[in-house]
Amino acid sequence: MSKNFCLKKPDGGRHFCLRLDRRISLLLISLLLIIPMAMAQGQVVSGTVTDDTGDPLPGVNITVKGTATGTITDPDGKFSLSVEPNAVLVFSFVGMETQEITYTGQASINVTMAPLAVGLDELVVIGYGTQSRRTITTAITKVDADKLEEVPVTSVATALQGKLSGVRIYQSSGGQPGGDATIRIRGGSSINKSNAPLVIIDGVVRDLDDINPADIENVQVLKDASSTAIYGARASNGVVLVTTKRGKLGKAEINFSTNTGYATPWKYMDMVDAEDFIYLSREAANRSPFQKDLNKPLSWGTGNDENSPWSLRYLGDGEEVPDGYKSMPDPVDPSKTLIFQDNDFQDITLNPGLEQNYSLSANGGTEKIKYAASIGYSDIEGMSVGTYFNRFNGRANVDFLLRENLTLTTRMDHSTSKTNNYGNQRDIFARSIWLAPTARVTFADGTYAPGENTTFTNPLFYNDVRKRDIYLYRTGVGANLAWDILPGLKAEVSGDYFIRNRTFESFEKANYYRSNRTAVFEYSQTKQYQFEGVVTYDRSFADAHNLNIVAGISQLYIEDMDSRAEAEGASTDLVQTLNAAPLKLDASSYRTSEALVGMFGRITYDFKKKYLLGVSLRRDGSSRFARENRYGIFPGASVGWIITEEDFMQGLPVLNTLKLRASMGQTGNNLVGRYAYAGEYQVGNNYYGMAGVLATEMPNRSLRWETTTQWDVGFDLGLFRGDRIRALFDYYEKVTTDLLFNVPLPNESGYNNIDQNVGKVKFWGYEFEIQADILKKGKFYWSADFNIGYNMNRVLELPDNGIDKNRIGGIYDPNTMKGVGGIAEGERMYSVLGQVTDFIIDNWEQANNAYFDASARGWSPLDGQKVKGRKIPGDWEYVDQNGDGVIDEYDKVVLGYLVPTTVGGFSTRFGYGNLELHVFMDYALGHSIADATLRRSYGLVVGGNYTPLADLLTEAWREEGDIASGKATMPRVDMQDQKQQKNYQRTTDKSVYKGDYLAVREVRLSYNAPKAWTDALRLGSMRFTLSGQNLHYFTAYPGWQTEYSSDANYNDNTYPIPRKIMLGIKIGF
Amino acid sequence: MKRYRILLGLFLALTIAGCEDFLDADPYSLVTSQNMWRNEAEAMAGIAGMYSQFRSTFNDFDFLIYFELRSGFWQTGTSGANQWDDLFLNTPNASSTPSLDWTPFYKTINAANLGIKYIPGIDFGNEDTKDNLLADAYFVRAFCYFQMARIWGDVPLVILPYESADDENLYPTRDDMEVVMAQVKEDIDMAYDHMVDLGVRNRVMASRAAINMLKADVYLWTAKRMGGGNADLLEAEAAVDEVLADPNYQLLPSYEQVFRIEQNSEIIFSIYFDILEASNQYGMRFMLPPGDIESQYWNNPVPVSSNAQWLTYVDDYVNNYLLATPGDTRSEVVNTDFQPGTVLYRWVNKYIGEWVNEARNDVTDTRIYRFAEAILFKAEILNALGSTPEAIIELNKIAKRAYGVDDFYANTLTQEEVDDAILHERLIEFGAEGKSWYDIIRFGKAFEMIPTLVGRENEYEGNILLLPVSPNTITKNPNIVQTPGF
Repeated sequence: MSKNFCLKKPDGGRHFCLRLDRRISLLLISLLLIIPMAMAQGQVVSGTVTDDTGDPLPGVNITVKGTATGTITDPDGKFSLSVEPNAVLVFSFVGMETQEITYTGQASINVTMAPLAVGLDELVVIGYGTQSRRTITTAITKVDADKLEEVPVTSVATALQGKLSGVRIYQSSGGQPGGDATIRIRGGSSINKSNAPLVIIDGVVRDLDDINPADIENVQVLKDASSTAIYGARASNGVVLVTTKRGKLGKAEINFSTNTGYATPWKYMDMVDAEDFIYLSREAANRSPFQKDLNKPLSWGTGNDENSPWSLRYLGDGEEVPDGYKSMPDPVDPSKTLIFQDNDFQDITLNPGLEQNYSLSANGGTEKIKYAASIGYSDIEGMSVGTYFNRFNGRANVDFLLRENLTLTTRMDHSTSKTNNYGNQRDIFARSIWLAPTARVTFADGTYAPGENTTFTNPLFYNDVRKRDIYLYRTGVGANLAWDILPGLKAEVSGDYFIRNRTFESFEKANYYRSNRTAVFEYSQTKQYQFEGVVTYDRSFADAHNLNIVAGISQLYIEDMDSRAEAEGASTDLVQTLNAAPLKLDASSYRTSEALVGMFGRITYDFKKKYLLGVSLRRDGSSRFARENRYGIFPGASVGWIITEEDFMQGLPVLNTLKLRASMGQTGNNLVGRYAYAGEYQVGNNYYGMAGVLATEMPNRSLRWETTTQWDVGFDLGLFRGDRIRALFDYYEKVTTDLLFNVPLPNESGYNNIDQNVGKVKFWGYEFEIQADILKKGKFYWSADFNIGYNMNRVLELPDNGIDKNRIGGIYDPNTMKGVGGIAEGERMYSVLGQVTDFIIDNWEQANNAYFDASARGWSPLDGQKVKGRKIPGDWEYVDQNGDGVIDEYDKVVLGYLVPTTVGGFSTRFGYGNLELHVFMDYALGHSIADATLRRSYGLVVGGNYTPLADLLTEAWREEGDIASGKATMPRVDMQDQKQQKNYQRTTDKSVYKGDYLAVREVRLSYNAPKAWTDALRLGSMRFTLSGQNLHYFTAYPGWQTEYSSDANYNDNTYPIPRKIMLGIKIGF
Repeated sequence: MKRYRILLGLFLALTIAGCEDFLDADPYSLVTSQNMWRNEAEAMAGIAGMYSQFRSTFNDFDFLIYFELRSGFWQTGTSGANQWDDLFLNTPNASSTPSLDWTPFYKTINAANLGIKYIPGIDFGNEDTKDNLLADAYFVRAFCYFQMARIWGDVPLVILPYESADDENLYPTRDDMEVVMAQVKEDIDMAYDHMVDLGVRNRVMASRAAINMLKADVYLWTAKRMGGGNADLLEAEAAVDEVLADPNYQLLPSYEQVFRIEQNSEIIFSIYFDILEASNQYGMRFMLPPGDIESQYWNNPVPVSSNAQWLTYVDDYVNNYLLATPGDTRSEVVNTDFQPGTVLYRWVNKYIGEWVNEARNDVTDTRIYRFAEAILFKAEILNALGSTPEAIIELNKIAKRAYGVDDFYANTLTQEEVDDAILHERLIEFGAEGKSWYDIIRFGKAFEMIPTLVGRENEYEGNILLLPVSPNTITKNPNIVQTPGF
């Protein structure tokens, strides 16, 4: 009975055929495989197939070469087959190296299968199905569990950083434990709406931080429109598909792993100590309008006593220098002695944070029931005072074979986490850490000193008075029923429910600045329901035509609720909840919902796995638009040609696989406000106790989808036998039209802006990935991979606003009708503007000849007067870009762009026996960082309470001729520069830095305990790992937050990403 | 097998059917343009929302920038984070001077325009309520345009609400100040006619008296600054007389109590503040934070605030006005100087909010019109009409409360001397109440009295008393031209 006969004429032995089909799909969790049946002839040979660890391997496909005869191994890895003498048996299994063994009359044939290096035949998850990498015609990047495992991270996105070509990942909340990372695929698609990709975990729309990295089987990123079009309306920014581990047939595999270690800063800023601080600031104040403040109670003033936040004062007559104080002569009056404390707030704020992670998982099953379950616990102390995160999570994926042709797949996950963070990271990292070293840490009674003001405090005070607890509870349950109707025809229905609850509690103890004892409680809830039905038909004809058809429907409903209550006036710090606070300030709740309905279909076809074709179509309806504009249609198509399958390409020595592909498609973006089309009156604008509503959004019923059209060409390449070197290349262009654009409205309208479908933007670039198994000799192996993605953008069309290039934002000069920055037609986005420095004015002659500087207050030590625009020696002279003899806004030019053009990573793995070393680095190039914090530091801002970096001491201009003699490279030190000449406190080519970096992201050394050890301990396996993360950044940028926090904002120091050293152990039972 | 097929068919049928309803997401917590302005309650909510926006428009730095900072009386406080030099020095600059954006004004005006458009079509149980709400809308619109015309001169006159981005008038041009003021006067008449409530109504929304005060204010301005002459003075006088005759309003015996008791009988119109609605009245910018005060003086006598002190009076004003006449009971209320040692603590003592639960809430209502101003308006009008002796009688009512002396100003003073006296009294009486800048201009003394303005009449093409428009306003609407001279 041949396989074709079986499939084409199911009547003849249908029952038998079907049973085989089920077993295959069951065992391989995969696409249908075509199994030839052996005709009973010749001698019977039997044997066992095992994997390289010695475990039996069920489901291995065994065929007799050149015939249609074959069988598969049973759950114990055993097989028997009738063969002719000298027949060649071919053993094949997905993910394993295919083996050929000639039958020479052995009584039994025992085969050990070796795992295949990840290759062109791997299975790739695509929307609503899977496909072999070989026949894929779209741009999909995949990361498997082995690349994510054993990296002790709690965030999936962080673990993916640098591992996916064309995907930029950066840590939006920096080093905050449990913080999220942001993902941008191919630069995004929109201008001022979301550029976040759609994340789908096991078929359900979820957040990436909902999942424990240890539960992941693999992550796929769909990048081109032909692959994403099946997700239609929400797919313009790409799709991230996460598949979690499912149970495998066989005895229970139990794993326990734990790792622990410390987080520390990867670098410390080189700030001045108290003595240098006093020297710099008092000297600067003495020759400035702030001279009058030298004796005031300030960080650099002497009017302090024991109750002041600052420690600096004169030593009294006959007084000894008190304990804990230092002394120095007053730089402005050396006859007097200053005493002060010297506190390093960087050191006080940043301390090693202990991290511990535990995970226990079990995996196994019988033919009827298979399971994969895990629990995990993480407890992470941040390296910055008071920050903390913990999470407990559990997951159970169970599959039931209900009937011979009916499979029920279930999933359930829950996580509970608690986060303590800063209300505003800037309060600490752009302020507290920079607090003047003369500030007190504690008063005599042991209470914390308050620093400068409520947001510029002593970090210990900040942490002591504020409580911020965020609790997050997430639960997802879902099931999928799959029914094999006929050979190749399958129907599936699935339903998923997900609920997320968040509570936030904060309390501010009565303190130096505020005694209200404000307590806040917030509760929010998101409920999401998703139902899908999919029918799949998968069939081959005449050994040449392979066809796969998918059709389905999808329904999504989301309901959000937020509530908030605030009260103050409690009489004690002991009770920190609302009940103790008599004055109720806020009580509100808010509810919204949204719905999405989609219908989709896809056909993939190949001829002899040589010529490939795929087309898909989705129609989506979204509640975010008015009835008449609700539906959008999103098509996709792709073609591929595997040249190396052609007869004329056979027998080439090096070129093993070459596939050319091209694709094109359209996707949408619906991320406007849920009711933006209807206009909005905001409630809560109350007056005189009367409930008030105020029109805040103008209605726009014509709102519709933003559409992105993308085309992509690329190739897949495999070199040498077994594709030892694999490469992927893609070039793409995407143009978004009908941009959902937040158009500014004239002030006279009474509204700020309105969402409209206007404008056009283009993103384009290329991606390249290469992986190589360089060496494998005996116990030694070496592999390496590299990826690079380049992305560029250009604005093509903007709403007509009467300005040159329809520029929005930036600077527009009404006199010349020219503009710069912001966004404008024909220009690149995310520019940063500023003036260009020319030279440092070295003497009075140069000062008198300098341009009028609109930002200079012009206080001169010669006459003690402020004359706007006047310059004095030691100031920067700037380039007068427009030649009008005045330095002002209109002399600003583009100094750089804030978003990298090029991102990627490379890694290498060396193994020798049980030992493996893995090094992974990633990089981002082509962007600038506009630093606001270093500017403040050099500028002695906020009352002069900012600590400058040490190079100010040696590099700043002091006296005439310092530039000529080469003594100085930086402008004069000014007390509160922002109120004087703004030499430091403005955006210039000197405060905008090249952001290029190369990060040593992971170095990992692991050791598999030898069998002797594990046998002695009666364990299956044991593995030790020592790893380091974020070890170092190679960069010219002098700050510490190299990966800054957002697309278009200035770096304003967020939580630095910590360096982590972790020790881990993984035990298999 | 068949069973499953039926099940599948059923599932498909269920999911596809009813899609349209499924996609109608209920807005639950939101009012949209489709469900607003349908009934009395929504009309009242719309008007309350308008006042709430009005409160934010005339508050905080904006209020001080428009009405106080240019008069030469102010300097940076202990923590001058903001750069107000442009205003102190009278060198306004489109790109560096703050608060030049029109958005807050037009948000209020749009709310008023929506009310004026929709309220007439709504059925009310009581027609009087409907008329009163319309009066509120006209009153607020008139107030906004009056101030805008004084601040910027020509401004776009928008009297219909914008409800679609396709509106062809979405990009208006600046209308002549005369046209704007004509609309202000028409709105005042509309407000007056609709205000059927003849009594006090309340002291934080429009009332007959509040409308009359605005009318007097407007007509006095056009009489003196826009060539309105005696005709406008007589309009102003009629309006003031109605207020003076209203027994609901009178002078409080104590000047300090005017600012310590909210909505007292001297208050004709004020902007309401409350911890539950808004607790950021501009008085917070005058008070000292604890870090600037030695601890033994915290609230004894120096009021402690959680905000930084951004503004204080200059010595000239304290010495030449507040301390000009010994025994002036207003002096300590307008400004308190406290100097226990070497450090001088100085703060405006009018808008000090409340000290509750160890914290200061900045919730004193902003006084816009009070009875004292009705008396001083009357004096100013009489003097301008030539009835100087009668003007002195009115002026002395204010002087009596201030100095405790009858006939403080002799009835022998000349018309010019009386004008000077009225201005002098106004500058003390309404200290920090947002009157000084336009009072000095109305009396024609700007280029005399304000040191930084002396001799600068022709600078900025003669528009030095106006402000430029923010570049942002022009960028968003290229039909707007910059105020000439800036």
